[in-house]
Amino acid sequence: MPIFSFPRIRRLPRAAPNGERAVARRVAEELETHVALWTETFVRRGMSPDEAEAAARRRFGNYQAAESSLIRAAYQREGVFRMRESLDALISDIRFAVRQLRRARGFAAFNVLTIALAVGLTTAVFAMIDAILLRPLPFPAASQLVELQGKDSSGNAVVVVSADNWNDWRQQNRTFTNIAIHTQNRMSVLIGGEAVGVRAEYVSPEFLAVVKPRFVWGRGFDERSSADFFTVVVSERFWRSALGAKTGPGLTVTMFGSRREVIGVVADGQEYPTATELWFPYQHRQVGGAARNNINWFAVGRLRPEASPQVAERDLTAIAQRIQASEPASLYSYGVAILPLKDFLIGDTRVYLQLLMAAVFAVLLIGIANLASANLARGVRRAGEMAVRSALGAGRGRVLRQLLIEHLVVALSGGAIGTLLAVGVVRAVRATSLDIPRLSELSIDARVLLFGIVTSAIAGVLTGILPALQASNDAPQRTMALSGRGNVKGGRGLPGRALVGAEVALSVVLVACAVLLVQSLRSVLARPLGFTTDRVIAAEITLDQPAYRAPGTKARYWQELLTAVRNDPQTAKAALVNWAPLSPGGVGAVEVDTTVVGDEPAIGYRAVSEGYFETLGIPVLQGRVFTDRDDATQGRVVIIGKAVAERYWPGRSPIGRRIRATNMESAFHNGEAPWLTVVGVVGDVRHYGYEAEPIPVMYVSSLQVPEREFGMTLIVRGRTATERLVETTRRIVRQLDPQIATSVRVLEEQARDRIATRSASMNVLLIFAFVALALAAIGVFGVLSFFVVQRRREMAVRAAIGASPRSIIELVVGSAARVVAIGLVAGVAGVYASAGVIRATLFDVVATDGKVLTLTCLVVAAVALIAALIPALRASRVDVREALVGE
Amino acid sequence: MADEPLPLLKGTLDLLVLKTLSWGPQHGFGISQWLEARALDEVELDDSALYHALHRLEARRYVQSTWGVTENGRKARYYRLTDAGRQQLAREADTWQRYSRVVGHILAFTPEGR
Repeated sequence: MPIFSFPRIRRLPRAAPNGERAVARRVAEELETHVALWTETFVRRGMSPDEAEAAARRRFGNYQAAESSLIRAAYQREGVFRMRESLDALISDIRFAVRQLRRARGFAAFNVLTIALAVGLTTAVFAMIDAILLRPLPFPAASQLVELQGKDSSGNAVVVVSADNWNDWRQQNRTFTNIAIHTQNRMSVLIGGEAVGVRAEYVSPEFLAVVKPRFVWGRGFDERSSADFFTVVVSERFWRSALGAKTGPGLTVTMFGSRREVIGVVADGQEYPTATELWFPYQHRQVGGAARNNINWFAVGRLRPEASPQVAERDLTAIAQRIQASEPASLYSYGVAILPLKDFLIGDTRVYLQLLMAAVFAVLLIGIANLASANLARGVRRAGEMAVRSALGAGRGRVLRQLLIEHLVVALSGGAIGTLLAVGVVRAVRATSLDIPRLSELSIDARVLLFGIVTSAIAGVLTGILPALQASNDAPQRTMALSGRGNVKGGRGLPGRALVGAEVALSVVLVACAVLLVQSLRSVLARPLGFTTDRVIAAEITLDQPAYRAPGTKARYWQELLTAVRNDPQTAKAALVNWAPLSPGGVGAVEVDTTVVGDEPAIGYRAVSEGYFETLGIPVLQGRVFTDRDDATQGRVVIIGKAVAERYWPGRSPIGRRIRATNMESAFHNGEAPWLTVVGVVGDVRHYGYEAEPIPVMYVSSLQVPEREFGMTLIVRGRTATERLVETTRRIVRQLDPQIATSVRVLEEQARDRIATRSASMNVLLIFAFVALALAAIGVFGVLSFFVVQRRREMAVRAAIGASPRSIIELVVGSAARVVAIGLVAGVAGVYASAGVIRATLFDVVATDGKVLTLTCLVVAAVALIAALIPALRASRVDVREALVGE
Repeated sequence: MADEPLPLLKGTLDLLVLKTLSWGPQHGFGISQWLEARALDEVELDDSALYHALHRLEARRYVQSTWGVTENGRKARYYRLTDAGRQQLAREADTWQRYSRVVGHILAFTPEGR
């Protein structure tokens, strides 16, 4: 007889919760049954009950220990099972959500696209903030890099420093590993006999050791090796494009008439300053005296790891003050200011980017609000479906979870598309030549992707939470009973209206900011530059070739150049200047023939040819301009700007007075700068663009300062469009001497580049404001449409008892008007609240300007009104019979 | 005088349990009883190891358990073989046959001429 037979299994209902005690209990039960059955068996074999039970337990070895270890194993198993179960449940919920979404394709697509647009824009702006504001500079230990600036007697930091000051700081400091100076020098080099214009940077030898960029090959300059003063380092881009990516000791460029070996190539993206193509070393000689005030350099330093900027500032200030005490004539040694290099580079871009981030968040919130209220409306229509679901046994938590998953699937898909959109936007911005700092570092990294995912997830939750809560809340029976009658419970629509009010408020703030930025830009552009930029180009030319070493050759070249340019039919006027407007230029201390009290500011120094003021349209206020007779045979003359005249000879004519440029000219006259006689006064010039103030400046005749002849800028005003003028100028220069290269810039573009950040931000903000208004209009339209549908029967009844279409329109629009009005007030309050924050981006206008606010409110109200009229008109045309009868 | 019972070689318990269950679902007592009857008292079966094996097999989804009631009305957990378990049984049985054939072959080897 078989011992074994198939048992009939009567199934017990599904196991109860998986808590610890339940697990332990189940194991214990199983083992108890086992023991009981073996006990019976042993009893049948003849043992006594007690012996049998003991023997049965002994089959486990130590019964207690076995039971405990089995319970422990069971716990672990349960944990794994639980995880598998929740994962399975999640996957099935996701599948279910996708099926539901497929059934409402249009609505789902609308949601996905709205989220894609909003999240995409937000992520793009964040990518810019990440690359420009958040990421450290791409050099090792970048937090150690700082910018150094000397302070003048008023305690203001001056952005450029003198080489003599730098030398003392470098030698006497205790807080830096090294300090270097650099200045830009656009020039032409010869490569294989051909002239090429380069963006070169003149640097002290330790510059590359301070910055520590990554090299493709080679090395930086060794300050102890004097041979290195005839070498250069180039950027990877320049190496590939102009030098054919060759290597070997024979790789040279010709500069200043001599061959220089290329000893290193800096990797792409690692150039400092941005877009530099070539670095060449400067050999310093400490001169002292007036030269200490020749501030022509930018200074960067690398702090020692243990030093902080504050400690370094104290260290260097002490050195500066020692210099000040021993050389009282120094103007910029009253202290030293130290700021992190990253902050120095970013400048005021920070405030614009923060403004854009806030603005794009507002757009995102409006988009989310629209979706939330649209989902609420749809949720009401789906109330029947929800009721069926919960009647079939889905708990409230499950329904809530499924709805949220539905919204999350939508949001994450939208977010994925939006992130792709952001990548495209970032690539497009990077390809422009906008003058914003760290533009070449723009890219999407892991942090930006994470931001995109998190933002979409939050958007999903926010758009879904309200309708999900509402849907899981309704008692099923009541909903099912009512849903057949076209009068579905949807609340008083309060959440929908609150959302609209919020959208209106946000739109007001955005539109106000956009208008303020437009107004600011207009104010900036309205400032007179003091010279004309219309059809004017500037071409920098350096005469460093050996052909121009002989005396008189340079002067002849400039003369021939001017003649050739002026003879061309495309040009109207031409002139020369050593440092053109809208480019860096030197300043120096002066002495005048009257007694002045206090420290004098350095004033700009420009060497110009005749015709300069006419070419640039600078008005002559007194006296005369230079002619070609103001040359080396005549007495030294000078023309001064109005600010200089008013400072030193207020209320009197300065003609005939005398001034001399102690900094700029002493070195060329054995330490004794000659006295210059004032022969004319011209209008002030905003040398650094719209946003800057005019600098006081003195002009000398270029024929009288041969030391300036090695590098001049040719200014040409044309008769024709600027592109042809650029080409014409290049052609003339090439024809005159093919060995000379020139870099030509259009003055008008340069002036605009200086306000590039401001105008770009304004354009972006205008786009955001427009999108926000459109979204808010859709929001108003959507909520009112829903309202009209909800109250369809009421409208019909009103029409039936004689209400005119106009009164119905008024009713509908009126219900919106209150919400919109509250939104406007809240928006204006928002503008007041954020006035302090946006002040930094405004120019000549206050955030709470009455006209701006009024205009904004009118615009937003008008848009909302139009959006409200459409459903209102529709309501007034309701067919009475159809509404009351049909269902 | 029976010899000392053999210890169960490591890893074979799973195989034996799977084989037992291939005849039909069974609870833990039933499995241990059946195995003991087949093992002819030559192999000692540790019941705690048996239950560890059953839990292990369930975690790997080779068996599935449900609560049921025995004929006497006791609550017991019944284990049955899954499809994956059936495949695993075939695999392990095959491996075991090959292993034991090889070992037997080597042990049976007698050098020529003895």
